[in-house]
Amino acid sequence: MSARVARFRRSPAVLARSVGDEVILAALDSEGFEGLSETAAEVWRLLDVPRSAPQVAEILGRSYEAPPDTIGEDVERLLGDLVRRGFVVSVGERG
Amino acid sequence: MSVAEQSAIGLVRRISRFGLPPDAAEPLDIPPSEWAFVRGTLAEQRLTGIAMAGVAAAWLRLSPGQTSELLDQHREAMLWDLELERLLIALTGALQSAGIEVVVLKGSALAHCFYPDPSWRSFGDLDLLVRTRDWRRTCELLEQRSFHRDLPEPRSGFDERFGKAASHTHADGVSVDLHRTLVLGPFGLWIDPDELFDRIAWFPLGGRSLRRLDDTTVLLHACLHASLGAWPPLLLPLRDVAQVVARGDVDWDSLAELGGAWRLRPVLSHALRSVVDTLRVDLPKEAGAIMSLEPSARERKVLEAYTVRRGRGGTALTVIRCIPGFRARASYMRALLVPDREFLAARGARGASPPSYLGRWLKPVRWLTGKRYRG
Repeated sequence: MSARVARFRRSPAVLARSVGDEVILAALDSEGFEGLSETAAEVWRLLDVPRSAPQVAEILGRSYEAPPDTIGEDVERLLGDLVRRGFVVSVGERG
Repeated sequence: MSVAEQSAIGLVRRISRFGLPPDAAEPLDIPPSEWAFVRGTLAEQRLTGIAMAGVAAAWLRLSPGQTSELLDQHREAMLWDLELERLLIALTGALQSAGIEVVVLKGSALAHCFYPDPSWRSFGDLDLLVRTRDWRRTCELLEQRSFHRDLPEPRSGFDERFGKAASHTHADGVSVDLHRTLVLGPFGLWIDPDELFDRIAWFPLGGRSLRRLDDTTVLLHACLHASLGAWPPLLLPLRDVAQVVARGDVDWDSLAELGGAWRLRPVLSHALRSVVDTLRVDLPKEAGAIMSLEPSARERKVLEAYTVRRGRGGTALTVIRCIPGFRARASYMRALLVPDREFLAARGARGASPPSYLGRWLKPVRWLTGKRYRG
């Protein structure tokens, strides 16, 4: 039986705009903006549908030609950060 | 306009149609000598998002310096849009809580529902439509939120009878155009504003669901804005028309019916023809049927009031002819010729000359003679 893995998607309560490779985010309940640079912006774009951290790492690994294992930890850290700041939400787990 | 400026405008026009059928075959380079004008025009006409999409697709080939300048302008536009959308969510929430139905027009609704990505379509203010019966209450609610109406109504009750919209500005520079119908003048008088509320769709924004017009009525409004909003038509409103045609679920029969009922067929036809002539895009055959409609002599005259006779009293004089009933006509003329002092003062503060009734009374003379008064 496979382990259950948390999946994430963009928070619907966040406004976003693409500016070149970057993404600018605006939370509704605070002033100011957050900018995501290239790789973080790519993660954000991937989360238009629910994905787990390993899935994100796998897709990023393909685009950057890097083994998912080496970037997996960074992806998990970034997702944790985005969740903490309310830009991304956890949408349950899948086995 | 210089030859160089004309050439630069041609480049901006090509950029403004990026992504529409038929696909542009050749990539586009901007000569360094024309870049400053092109960049300025892209920003002024809110086309930086479309230009950035062209850059991302490697169709618009800019130097690193040009790309960086465009990116800076686009970032500025996007920050403004996000600020406006934050306000949009707060305002629509407040209006709905007060029991006021509000419909988002143009900007955000077009950006999110019809463009490939909202960053393609930037906007400068918010456009909200409310029912005529809710107009006063909505103006008050905006005042409570520190929005100041730019120009008072000419006379009490004018807004509800003849008005289209009123602009309200916040101290921080954000502006809300509050509409009760879609266009000023005779075409606005022929629209049934309440019927617009039967033609509603919804779109998600920031975790909320906001009202907008349905796709067919969005196209009708986009045509009104493209054709009657500025003369000559601006590129972004023309692009909006093409974009809604390309991506919207337009019911062409219903559009033609609505155009007939509200006497807007000449506007639809004019807008669609302007899109083809200016942007050189392909439109579906259903659009061809509307484009081929020949307006009656009267309809043509009304359309000219917004276009070639614009700014020479065309709209005001035509409204007078189109208002049904002597009393209503007299009331409109009284509001124009003898507006409240507050309105006169506000108008005077905007113009070069001090406010006076005489100045207003001489205007119709200038319209009729076509000359400037030199008294």
